[in-house]
Amino acid sequence: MNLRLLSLGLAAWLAENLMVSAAEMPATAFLERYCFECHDSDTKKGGLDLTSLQADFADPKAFDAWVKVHDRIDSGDMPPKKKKQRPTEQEADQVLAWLDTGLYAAKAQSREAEGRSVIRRLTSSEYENAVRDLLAMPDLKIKEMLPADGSRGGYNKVGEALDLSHVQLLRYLEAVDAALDSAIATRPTPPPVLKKRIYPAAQSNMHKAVGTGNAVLLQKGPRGFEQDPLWPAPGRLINKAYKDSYIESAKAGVPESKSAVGFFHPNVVYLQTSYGFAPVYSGKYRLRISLWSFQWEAGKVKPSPKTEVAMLHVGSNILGYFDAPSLSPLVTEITPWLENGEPVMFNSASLFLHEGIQVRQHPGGAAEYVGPGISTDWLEVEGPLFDEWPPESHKRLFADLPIKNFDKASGTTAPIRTKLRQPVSRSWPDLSDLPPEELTQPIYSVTSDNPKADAGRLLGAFLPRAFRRPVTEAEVQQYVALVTSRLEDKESFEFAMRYAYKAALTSANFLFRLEQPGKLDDKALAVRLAGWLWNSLPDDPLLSLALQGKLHEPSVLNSEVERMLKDPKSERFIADFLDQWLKLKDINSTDPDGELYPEFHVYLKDSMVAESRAFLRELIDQDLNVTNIVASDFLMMNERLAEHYFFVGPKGSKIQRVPIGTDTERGGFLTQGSVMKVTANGTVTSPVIRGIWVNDRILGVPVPPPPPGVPAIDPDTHGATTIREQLEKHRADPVCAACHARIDPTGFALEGFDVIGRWREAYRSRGAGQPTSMVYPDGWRPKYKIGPAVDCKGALPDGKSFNDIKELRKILLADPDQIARNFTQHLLTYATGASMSYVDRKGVEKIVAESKKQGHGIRKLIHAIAQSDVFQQK
Amino acid sequence: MNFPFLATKPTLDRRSFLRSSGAALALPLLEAMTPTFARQSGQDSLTPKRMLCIMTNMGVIPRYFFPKKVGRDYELTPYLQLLKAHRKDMTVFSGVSHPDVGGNHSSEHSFLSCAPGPGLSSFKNTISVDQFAAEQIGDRTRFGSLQLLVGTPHDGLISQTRDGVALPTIERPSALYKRLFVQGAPEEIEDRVKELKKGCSILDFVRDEAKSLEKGLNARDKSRLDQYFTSVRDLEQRLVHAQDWERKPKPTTKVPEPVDVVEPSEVEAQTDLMYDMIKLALETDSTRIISVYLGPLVVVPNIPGVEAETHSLTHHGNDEAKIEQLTKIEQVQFACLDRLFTSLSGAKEEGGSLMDNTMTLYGSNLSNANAHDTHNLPVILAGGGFKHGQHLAFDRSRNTPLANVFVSMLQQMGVTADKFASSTGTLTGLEKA
Repeated sequence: MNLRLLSLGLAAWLAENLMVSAAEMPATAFLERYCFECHDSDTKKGGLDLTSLQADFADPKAFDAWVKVHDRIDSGDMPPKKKKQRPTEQEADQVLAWLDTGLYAAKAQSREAEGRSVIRRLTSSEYENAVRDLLAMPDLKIKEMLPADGSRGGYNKVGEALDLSHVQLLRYLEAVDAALDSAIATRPTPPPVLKKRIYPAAQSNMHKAVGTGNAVLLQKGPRGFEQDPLWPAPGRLINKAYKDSYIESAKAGVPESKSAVGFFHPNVVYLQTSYGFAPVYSGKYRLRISLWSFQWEAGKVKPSPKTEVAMLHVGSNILGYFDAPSLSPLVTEITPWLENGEPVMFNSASLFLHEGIQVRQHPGGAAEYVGPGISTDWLEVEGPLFDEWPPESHKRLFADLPIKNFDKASGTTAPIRTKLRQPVSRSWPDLSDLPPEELTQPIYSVTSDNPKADAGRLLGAFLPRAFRRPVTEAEVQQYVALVTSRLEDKESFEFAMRYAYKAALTSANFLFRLEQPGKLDDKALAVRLAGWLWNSLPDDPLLSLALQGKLHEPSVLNSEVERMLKDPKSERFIADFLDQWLKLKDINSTDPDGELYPEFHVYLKDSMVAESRAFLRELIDQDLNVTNIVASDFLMMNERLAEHYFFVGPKGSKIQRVPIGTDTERGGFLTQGSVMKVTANGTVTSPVIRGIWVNDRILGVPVPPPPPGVPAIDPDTHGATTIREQLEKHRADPVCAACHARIDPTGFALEGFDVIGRWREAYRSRGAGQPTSMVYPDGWRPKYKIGPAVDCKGALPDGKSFNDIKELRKILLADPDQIARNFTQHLLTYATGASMSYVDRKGVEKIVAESKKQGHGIRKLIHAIAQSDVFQQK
Repeated sequence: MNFPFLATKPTLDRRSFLRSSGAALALPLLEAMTPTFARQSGQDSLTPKRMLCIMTNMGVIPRYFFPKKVGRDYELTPYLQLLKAHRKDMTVFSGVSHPDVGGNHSSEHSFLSCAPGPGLSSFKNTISVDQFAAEQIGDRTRFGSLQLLVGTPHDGLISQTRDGVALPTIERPSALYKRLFVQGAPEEIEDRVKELKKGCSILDFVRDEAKSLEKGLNARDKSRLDQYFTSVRDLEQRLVHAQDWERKPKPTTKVPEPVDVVEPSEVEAQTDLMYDMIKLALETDSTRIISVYLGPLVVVPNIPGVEAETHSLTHHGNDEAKIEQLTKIEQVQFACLDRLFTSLSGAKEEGGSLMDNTMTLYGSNLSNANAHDTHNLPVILAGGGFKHGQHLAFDRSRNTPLANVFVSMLQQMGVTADKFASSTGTLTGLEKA
């Protein structure tokens, strides 16, 4: 028995810290009377031995343990309700107050000396955005070149998780090189702008699809769209006929046809369809595509029941989704940045390929096929387009210094240039499409008649932006010395400058967010705000307010936060925060089982993520109540999501606000498809995983990790046992029951949503069960069976029970403050880069109270956080 | 005119980034370079011991792998049957795993590091066993270690630095071949040395500049900035090491440069080709330490009878048809391993064969992937001068730390280590030959 030790520990600690005598300690007697029965060194219930727990709050482990003790007493969970001997309210309050004082006192000193957060480097996405903003290249992609960041509590912004090693440093150097390659103009005039309308049948892979009957040639006749008599839809084709048909179609002149091509399948590995364009020059391109959808009925073109959606992509980088309305061609335009040599691919994204059976393999082939199709008339390409020359990115580095023919006789090393090359074979443009002088370009480079002065001027402008502070002349001269050392080594001016820029963008001044303990000064406040709401660096107006010392003034801060939220750069915050708060970054980590979930495809997945982002955007823009996190009377949906969620209304791919009333299982982040997907494994759902997610991310009740050595559940899709039956076995073990009573209920309420977030009354099964009545528009029937019924019932640890998600939602809505509290804690962790601690609670309560006073609107809550002490302290 | 709904998550092909112009440092595998200062005084024996760690990330169906009988006359299970030619050269383990390593698929991050709690929010990785060895003996070869990948490019693999930062991998056998054998023209070499020197002077500069930031920092913040100084120093030493090796002639081989298997579904051909390169790398003593991540994740492999991608098959829900397909994939993995062992055994060198001098650890971070079970890991150790030929069985409910196998391996290759991560000693029953 360690009671004496405990008393000694407490007494010693108290004597030193609180100056009370041992006789005044309320804790020892309390713990002895109510807690030691279970939590002593013999029984150690739940792994907790209070008799050996020292009251040394300065020790982080002991601190955490005492916080748990505090919270369990505070919530009334401990001592257990069934115990006869329970403390009076006054006794409990006394102990809680004592613990509270001790816990705060222990942290007060370190808070003062060190602050809440630790100085940290930029995250990889902050790094990418910072370089984008510095170089005015919003489409630059360098994040994937950097190693993945660590994370704490799911947030990669937390300083302790952001380690740095030689691996990162090398990657920064490489990423900066790639960025500078894109940013710097290497010619005095812009590259020639090429423009062309490309017809689909002229593309070899699209022509092949037409020739072999996987796509059809369509034209506009007097009575609307019809088959082009040049190549009517063929019947079933196999093997030899496949090749013959392809050759015959070429002879018939299909590749010369300007008719539309109608597709029946999406792009899959062996059915790639490219639009035959790959840029010679990297840059912005205007892409215009004409699309419409139709219902194919054995050779007849009929109206499509819905707006189908196609996609353009480059590799796995999706350029956009495009609506194809029924029988009415729609021209849509985008202006993406395209890299040299990457072919633009076309994908009939909303269509299906069931079990890999192509139309040409159907009985009767395309001639007898009935099903939906997407038709494309043409793609127009124009570019590369630059607003000005040299582009802004170049001017940020070299201002208006002349770009001249490089003098080979100068004795300096020529800048390295990549050769103009044909991107991919059979693509447009071909090198022969270019003006002949393009093929023999001399080397051009930025020149300076007074390199030292120019370097000083250029770096004097660049460094303060990169370092988010005024930079002394001495500092600038250090960088200038770097440039002159390269010049002395016979490097060209351009490459000598690159060298200095590389040093700046790998410098600790750029990489680290440096903050001093205490209240942040205005510069640090600006950096923190920009890291939060733009996931990047401050822009010039924000920095300038900080340098004038005005930013901390509440009205200035308020209008800056407003400006930042209205800036499109706040989309970066929305995406990055949701990736971490709701774990949407895991959206690609599982592929739903194709047999059980045949309706899943990349377009649905992207729509789900777009929904979550649009939803948070709407909550912020309209300043909607935080309770919308768990319940909303509207959804942000496009047509595909509406179909998935069993609503009608929206047409096409655009996400829009749709009212849904309050009597539906949908609403809030809680039931969004994206969330249901990241909390399932692709085959089955688990109330445990979803329950932990709801507790941790929505309710603000962290769940401890499972004790080691617990046998895992072996999922079963035979339709024989349900997850509820399996879990009940697990919960029969009292060791497991305590936590699972808290975890599982909310997870069970979400059992009504399958792994792709579709509502279900029964589990889909591969074994036992009834055949499904589901029939696709092409007549295909899924193979899965309808298995056991889903049971969503549950009861929370406090005894409140519910039958389904609608009833659970009502229970959760009863405590809007808790929803606000949890959301505040998550936002603060993200915004400050420090995990929430016990001693942040009072600060959080102030924010919650302020938010409540304002009606719990989310935009106002963001303002309250920006104005709060917790946010403004290091 | 109408504006489209824009893509929500443009994920970019990693390869598309590898096209930065010649201005990039173009460095030869810098992460793999080990600083010269770490050089040990110990003499090289004539035939060095090597360490090859191969992890497949999708588990192995336990009932087709683990034998029931313990000791030397264990029965050949369907998977071990495929390795029967090497029975006397390998040891099969059961009842080993990493303590406190759960976390489903995240457990892969701890496979070689044994770091507890992958998947937990507070997880922090630590040095992997291959890098631990590379710190001590990596300077003896051109490449301190090699990290290879067969499969889909993927974050956070199995080799980590002391700070727990994951090291990047080489995915293309042809790229590996070039690094091993293709010597640049003299002027190219000089250009590269020049680039390396420039890299060093940038680092010199940023280090000096950062010193001014140290002033007034509290101890906690200073330790974060110290990581910057350490990173600069580590990278600088690697740049110097790279300059040393840049001018030394590379070994020659009669094997022609391989043609990469680009079709993602051809996992068997890809694995075989990478294994061929591994043999070349070890044989020419270009490195003594290799880790390989086999990640047949999101492709449908071109194996007769297999219709779904590996990951979804591992979530078979105990459906026999799916298990049968998964078995076919795992059989291919063991068949590839069999061919690797055969080729290592066929390569004779002083003191026996390459097999005798190479410890190959083969295993998975999961056992039954359907349950995401991280206990009772399927693990084989082959070659490398141990007394093999047995099934070493440990307690199935209270597993022995896999780190004990690592300590035995480290000691076998002359690396000073009484302990590694969660080890409790060397592995009982695993003795030097």
